Amino acid sequence: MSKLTFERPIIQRINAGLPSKYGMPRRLDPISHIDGTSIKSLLDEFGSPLFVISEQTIRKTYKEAHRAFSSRYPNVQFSWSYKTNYLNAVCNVFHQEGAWAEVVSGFEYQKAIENGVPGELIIFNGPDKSTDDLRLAIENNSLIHIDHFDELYELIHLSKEMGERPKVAIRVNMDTGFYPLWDRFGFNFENGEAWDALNRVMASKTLDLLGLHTHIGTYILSTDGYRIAAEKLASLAVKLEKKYGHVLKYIDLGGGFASKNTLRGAYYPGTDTAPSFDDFAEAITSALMSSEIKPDHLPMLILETGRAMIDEAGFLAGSVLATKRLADGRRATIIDVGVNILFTSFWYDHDIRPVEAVSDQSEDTTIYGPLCMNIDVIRGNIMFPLLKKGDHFVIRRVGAYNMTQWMQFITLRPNVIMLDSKGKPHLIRKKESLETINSLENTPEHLKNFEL
Amino acid sequence: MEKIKVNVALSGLNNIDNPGPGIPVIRGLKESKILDVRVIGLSYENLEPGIYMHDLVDKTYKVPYPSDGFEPFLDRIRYIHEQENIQVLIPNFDSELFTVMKSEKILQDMGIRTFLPTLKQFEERHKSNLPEYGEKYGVKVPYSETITSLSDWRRIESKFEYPVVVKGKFYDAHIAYDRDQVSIFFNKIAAKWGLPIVIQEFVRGTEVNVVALGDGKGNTIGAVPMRKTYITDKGKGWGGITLQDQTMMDLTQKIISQTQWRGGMELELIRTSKNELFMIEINPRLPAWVYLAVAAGQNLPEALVLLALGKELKPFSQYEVGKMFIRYSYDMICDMKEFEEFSTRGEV
Amino acid sequence: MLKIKSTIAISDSGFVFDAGTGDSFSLNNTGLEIVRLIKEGKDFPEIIQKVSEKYEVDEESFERYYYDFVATLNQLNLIEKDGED
Repeated sequence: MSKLTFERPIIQRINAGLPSKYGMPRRLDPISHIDGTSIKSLLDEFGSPLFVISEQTIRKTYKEAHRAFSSRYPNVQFSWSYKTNYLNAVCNVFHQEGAWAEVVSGFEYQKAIENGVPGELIIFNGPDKSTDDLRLAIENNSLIHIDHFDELYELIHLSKEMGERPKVAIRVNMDTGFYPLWDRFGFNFENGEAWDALNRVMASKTLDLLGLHTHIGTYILSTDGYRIAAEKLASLAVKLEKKYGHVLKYIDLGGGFASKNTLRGAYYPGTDTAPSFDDFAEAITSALMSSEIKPDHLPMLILETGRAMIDEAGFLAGSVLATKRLADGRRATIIDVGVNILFTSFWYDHDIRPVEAVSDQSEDTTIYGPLCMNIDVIRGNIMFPLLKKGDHFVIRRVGAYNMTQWMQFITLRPNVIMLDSKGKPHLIRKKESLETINSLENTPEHLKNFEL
Repeated sequence: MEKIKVNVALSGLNNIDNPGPGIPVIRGLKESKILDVRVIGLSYENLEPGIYMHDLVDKTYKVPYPSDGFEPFLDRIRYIHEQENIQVLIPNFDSELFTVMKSEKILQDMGIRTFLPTLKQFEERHKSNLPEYGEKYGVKVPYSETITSLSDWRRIESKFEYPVVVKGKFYDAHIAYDRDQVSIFFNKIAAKWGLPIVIQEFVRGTEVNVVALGDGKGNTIGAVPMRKTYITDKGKGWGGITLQDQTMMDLTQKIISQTQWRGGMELELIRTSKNELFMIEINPRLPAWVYLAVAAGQNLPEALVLLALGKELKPFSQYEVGKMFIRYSYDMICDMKEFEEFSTRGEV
Repeated sequence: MLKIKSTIAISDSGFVFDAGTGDSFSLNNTGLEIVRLIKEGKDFPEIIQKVSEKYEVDEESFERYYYDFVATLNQLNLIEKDGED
């Protein structure tokens, strides 16, 4: 007679009275494979922890977003937001799909150029552009989105000095009913500053005004803000044509679309609340199509959405270091992924799953990272099965911001691999070593030796 | 006439001192002369009294919280549907509405009907959208502004007169008499429910309510106005009495016809000493005091099920004025065995 | 030796009721079996023998699970305090 599989013995208090946070106990389905490739074999080969990016998912998401907009609007262009994830392999998947580059610093600008993006297809955003950056961008015919008057005057000055006609757009901030207002970027719509800036650009005669840009916020769950933003930008475009007969080439609605991650403290999970690309597209394109812009003058619609494009494609796999019981009886599981490489755990309740099939039983658990820091909490309260040392887990939707905002703190940043469309792994960023870090340092001669 | 047999699943069985609408809705259904209802209770907790009220609830199943997402919720509904063949589903908690609305199509394909407001109607009436709502539909609402910081408040403070009501986006409301109190409540609510915070003009007057049912085509199938005669320290009605009030009825019909409201609703209104009506909130479901409407001659739960089944209904034309309810609590004696069943097997 | 508190009733469904405190708990199948074995006065070697006859489990994992489980029983106040040694 074959023996039965043993399940870990469990006893749980039945909460009589106080409503518990958890209704029916819900089983967390394990995730053992990504795109058909076993997570365990990847960890064996590339070490733990490990970032895994699914090329297939990036392309699928991109196509989905592109379809949503281009099926509703005649002229749509996506531009990859470098800051969201500027690993070259990731950028190039987007460029292969047809996305331009959207950068916010000289460093990102150089990265885009090195990736081979033609200068005229780089959008240069943000408040930080040095004079050298601007010169280079002007020479390359890049699209410079002006953030403040100091920059506007510098550009006018440079255009005269260089005898060039810089291609520019004005970044506009506005009240779209979404809070907090991002009024620190660009020129305000409601108080007339944006209109003043446009008049100044037109009066300069040396700047080539191509577009209008706005970016209303981040992780936005309501499509209505985008409708309002599109209407307001369209009204500026109409005013420009009326006053100067000037027809804009493009309107850039920026990004900020929510991904399916769940914000900490949100009642409903992000998978339920995040609007689809179709929802965003409907709000934006219908506002533009029904504006007073003449149909044959409809500008190109540019989108720079980063998070919603890449979050889903990123996974972070790792191993359990230990389990323990806290003073109040709750479970604690310690894993080899800390907040230093999973920055987004500060604002998301990340979806974390076991890799191997485990018991149906789960317990109220806190998941800690490996850092010697009290803030290193990956999930505060989660109904999670008890894993044992060496078991594996995978965290979903980590593609956005983690691989740009991560810190080298106490430990080193791990390998990043990309699974190609056949599920074959490619190492796209090598893990750091002691040498990587030490090679940047210099110890003065008199500090080289000591005796203990 | 033979009664129509129908299986109705519903939640809100928490018939405690701050009751959910489940049991009152069931009472309406069980008293129906047209429907023969089998009631399938959906419960989140082991101690929701409805689970143990077998004269009203035929069978109860434990369900996962909507905060787990609609997939786990639907999985469970699928299982229950296999056992019970649910024909109509009535969610009675605000927190469930979003989840059920989002799954409406899938439920329909399974053969489960609902009769709920559309997502647009649901979103539009959120507290933070009240001023736009008032303007759009020509309804008097208290002046309000949305703030995200206390410096926002200092900027707009002069537009208000103290006291003001400080409200969270979803729940919570406090009356503040000065700037210090605004700042206390701002921080308290923001910590719990996040931003933005709504600051609302305080309208002095009597709280009156209407329970109503819209057919989704602009018709008001039924509406009964009521004044709470006594309010508990939790702000809940202890007793209430039906009113004869044409302005309240007109306002209700106006809102339902303009928004094409579908499903049950409760209007929370304030009547000022100048006899003006201000709308404070729209709850997108039948309230816990709906049985008063049944007793006054409008069986709105029954009508809601009939609408869900696709029947054409003639609107109720009258109700009894001066009908009263007094809420009471009652210590029901229960069998430990049933508690054991429900908590270990999730159904009883 | 471990002793389960005398006020505790355990039913076949794994439902546990502590008449002394009014608390109730639920056990999974293996939990139920182990609690019964403890109640019968079996010690750890006997329990591990019984369990490994029936289930596919190695000694090391079982020991780990067992002591963790007993710690939980203790935490939940289901073990007789003076019966511990």
